[in-house]
This record gives sequence, structure tokens and C-alpha cells, in this order.
Amino acid sequence: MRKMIELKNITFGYDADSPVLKNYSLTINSGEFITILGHNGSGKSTLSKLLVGLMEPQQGEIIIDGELLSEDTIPTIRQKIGIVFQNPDNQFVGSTVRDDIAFGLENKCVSYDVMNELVERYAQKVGMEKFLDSEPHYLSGGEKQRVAIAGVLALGANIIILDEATAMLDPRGRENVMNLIHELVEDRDKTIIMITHHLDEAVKSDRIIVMNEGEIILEGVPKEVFQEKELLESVKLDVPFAVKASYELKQRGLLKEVVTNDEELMDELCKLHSNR
Amino acid sequence: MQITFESVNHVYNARTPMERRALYDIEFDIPSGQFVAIIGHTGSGKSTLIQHMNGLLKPSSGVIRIGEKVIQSTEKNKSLKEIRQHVGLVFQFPEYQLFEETIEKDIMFGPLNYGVSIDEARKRAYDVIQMVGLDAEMLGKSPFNLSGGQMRRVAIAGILAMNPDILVLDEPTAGLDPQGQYEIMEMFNLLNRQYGKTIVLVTHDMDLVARYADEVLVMHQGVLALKGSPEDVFKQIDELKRCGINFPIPAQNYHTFANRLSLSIDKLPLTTEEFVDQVESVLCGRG
Repeated sequence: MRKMIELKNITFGYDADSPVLKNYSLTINSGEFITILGHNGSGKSTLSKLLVGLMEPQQGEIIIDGELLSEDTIPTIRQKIGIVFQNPDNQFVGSTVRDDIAFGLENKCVSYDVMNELVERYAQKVGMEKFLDSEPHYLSGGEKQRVAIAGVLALGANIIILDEATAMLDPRGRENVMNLIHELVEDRDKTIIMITHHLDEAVKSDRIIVMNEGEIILEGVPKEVFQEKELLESVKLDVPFAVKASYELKQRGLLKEVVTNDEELMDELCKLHSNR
Repeated sequence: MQITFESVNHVYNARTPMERRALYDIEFDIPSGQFVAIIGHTGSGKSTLIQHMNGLLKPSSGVIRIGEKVIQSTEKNKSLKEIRQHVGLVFQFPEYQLFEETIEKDIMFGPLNYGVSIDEARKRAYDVIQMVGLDAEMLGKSPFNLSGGQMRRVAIAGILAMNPDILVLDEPTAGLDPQGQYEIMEMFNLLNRQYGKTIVLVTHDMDLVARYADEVLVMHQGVLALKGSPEDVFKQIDELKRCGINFPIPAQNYHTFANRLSLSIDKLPLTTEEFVDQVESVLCGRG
């Protein structure tokens, strides 16, 4: 597998005495869907700022798609990475959906015909093709976030960072955006990094990285990570209902294993009932 | 302080082509000191409803009573000033409304506008910063260097400095991490139990409703569709589905579980513990 992102022994702090990231190393492969979990202040958003060169680490190196991140390579590396931020209103810059998706392309001086083609293709990709001429205040938060994702895709980024992109959405908007992310994951041509504090959004990722105070404290596939209910709760993360319930049922001797999602929980419980 | 709505209607842009009716004959009362949750789908009229509680919107017809005070369509805005002092409305993402150089100045802004002396306003800032669980030493700092959760607490402290009897909260946990959500909800719970504030909470999170609310109001298309304790309201499965309301996650799962095994449902569990207990009694053949 090709390495897409390599962080080697990164140390970074906003002031010298209190580093936000401590000797932090991480490798992410091309096409991987990875979730970075941590509570507010655990250093997870700092990480995304370092990846696009908005800030520079005091120590260590960052290699993106085989290229060392430095002042000279920042412009080319930024073209490979797209970030979707938390607040849907702060990142909607166009006066319509069409303008908004086209904004980045215009800055890159893409020709009019190509631009039109790209805008329509990616509006369709995110399911917003019917809203091309809609103004932002007619869109829900979830719809605005889908438009932001279309903008990133249109620019041809092959790494997509979703920095708490669902945190400000209502449950329906969250589901809407998560479905789109799962569709993108299935295409497998993008490396997707999701930064969140919702464990239930991490269930379908290839790998979960749990951060606390600037360090990786847990790493693995969702099933392994969710077994560590007590550790997760100790770093202020709220484990999904299925984990909590199955953990408790295991304690009471009813289940053998902790499960990660509601469907599995239902299957296990129905099995138990029929074996009774 | 009691809140009473008597056949309240609201029509936006009345007598224009844009006319849209948002509330239909709303009637309820909230006794002093209660913790009430208002739930409903986006567009169900929740926000319109809570803006009537401190006179930001006036009813097109009907009467709202806040303690002894009355809000109705004929009321002058000037007489609403006193009501606004009693009813603190915390909007979504209130941290975006912070603007002063220091936390202390930001908290003092409201009371000073209401003619409180500087000394008194400063004393209140000192008191309320602790009520929201922050250190009084932070008062001299800029509110803009705080984390999102802390900024939200400062914004809420600014409302508490007005010493309201009623606190109306529009999605106060949105965007906070689980620990931040837990802490801020426990803070509202404390304000309710210890300081006797009436709390009106608008939320999409049914688990919060199950955990904290004494009473639930369900809005649907501008109508008050259901009212009752969380236990009673979450029993009405079909009616809630019609209103587009999700159940608390434990209840959803138990519902699926019971349906797959064709069990009858007497009661839906609202918390994880209740879920585990109920499942155990089914599997072990008790109950």
C-alpha cells in the first residue's frame, strides 16, 4: 500500500512550555478512511492545521504523497488536500451553490467550460444538483456541508480532511453528511481523515486513532478500539449505545463480547433469545 | 415564575403575500421551577414559540403570562423590558455574541444596560462566573482565547447576570464534545435544582430529554401535539413518529428488539440501564 501521509516525531505547541502534540508519529495509506477521535483540546484540530502547512511544527517532519512539507512544497501539497470545517455558514462563500463550488476553480483559473462541467459533476456527486441556483439561506446546515465537500472534490484534492464537519448539524443533517462520506469511502480513490468526537461516526472507518493531550493513546480497527470502553470514557469520549449496553450485558454474563453497532447488538440478543 | 400560554397564534408577515402561520392555538402552562423540554422537527415552530417567551415576538392573537406580566399583540415594546429581565433567552451558539475585551466586561454589559451600578455588576460577574463552573480569576482575560465550551459558559454567565427566573435555552449542547455536553447539562440541572430557575430547553437530543426533563412539549407543524412526562410522551410511539421525532437510542433499540421477537411493549426504556434491565428480564424469563 502506498503511503499518503507520514508524520514523523512531530512536536508542536502554541507556546514553548506546553506542547499540543508530543513526539507524534502517524502513517496513513492512500485510500484509507481514518477517524481521529479526541475531546476538545486533545490536539486533533492542530493536526489538520499542520498537515496543510498553516502552522509549522517545532520538531519533526511531515511527508505528504512522497513530498516533504516545507515552504517550497506548500503550494503543491495544498492542492492535494481539501478541508471541510465545522461551521457551515463560515465556509459558504458563493451567492449560490453553483458559485460556491466554482469558487476554488475560479481561483485556479480553470476555463469556463471545464468549470461548468466540474461543478455539475460534483454537485451531482453530493446530491445537490437540484439546488445549483439556490441561495445559501435556503439550505440546511447538512446541505451546506455537502456543497463544501463538492467544492473540495471539484478541486481534485486526493486527501479530504473533515474537521468536525458534522458537529454543528442536527441529527438529520449529520446522517445526511455521514452517508455522503461513506459513499466517498466506497469509491476508495480518496484518503479520508475524519476528525470528530462522536464515536458512532467512527464505526465504519478502517482505523481509529484516539488522541488525548497530544498523544495517541489507542489505535486500531473500530471493533478493537470499542472494547476499551473504560479507557475511552476516561478520556472524556462517549461510547456508542451498543458498546455501553453490550458491555453491561457482558458484565451480567449474558453476552460474550462487546459489539460496536446497533444491528450487531440486535442480532446477538435475538440469537440469545432463540437459544434460550 | 410561571409561564402560561393561552390560545396563542402567530402569523409571520400577516396580510402580505408572504403570510405564513407558524403557531396554532398554543395552550400550556409551565409551573415555576420546572425543567421543560421542547422537541419537534426542524420547522415545527419551536423557535417561534420560545421567542414569544420574552416578547421578541408578540402573538398575533392570544395571551402569554410570565408571572404577573402579560404579553399580547397590543402590548407596547417598552413594557416588555421587565419581562426580558426575568426571562433569559440563550440562542444557539451564544458564544458568537461575545464582543467585549474582557470576560468581566462582557458579563457586566447586560446588567449595566438595565441600570445596575458598576459595583453591583462587577459583583454579579464574580458570582455568575462561578455559577457556570469557571474560575473567577479568568474575569480579566479576553473571552476570545477560551475553548468553545468555555466561551459558551461565559455567554450564559452574561445572561445569568441579569438574574433571570426563567432560562430559555435553544440547543445549548450543539457543537460541544460529550464531556462539554455533560458538564453544561449538569450546570443547567444545578441552576434548576439549587437556584430554582425554571428551565426551558429546546433540543434534538432525545437522550437529554429522557435524562433531565420533568415535562416534554412536542411541537408539530405549529401545533402543540403532545405534552407530558418523558415516560408518558415516549410511550406514544405512533404519534411521535407522525411528528418526525426520534426516540432516545435505548428506546429505539428496545423497540426493534421487541418487534423482532414479537414481544408486547409495556414500557420503552429511556436510559441504557433501563434497557439492560428490560432485556435481562426478557432473556431470563422474568417480568
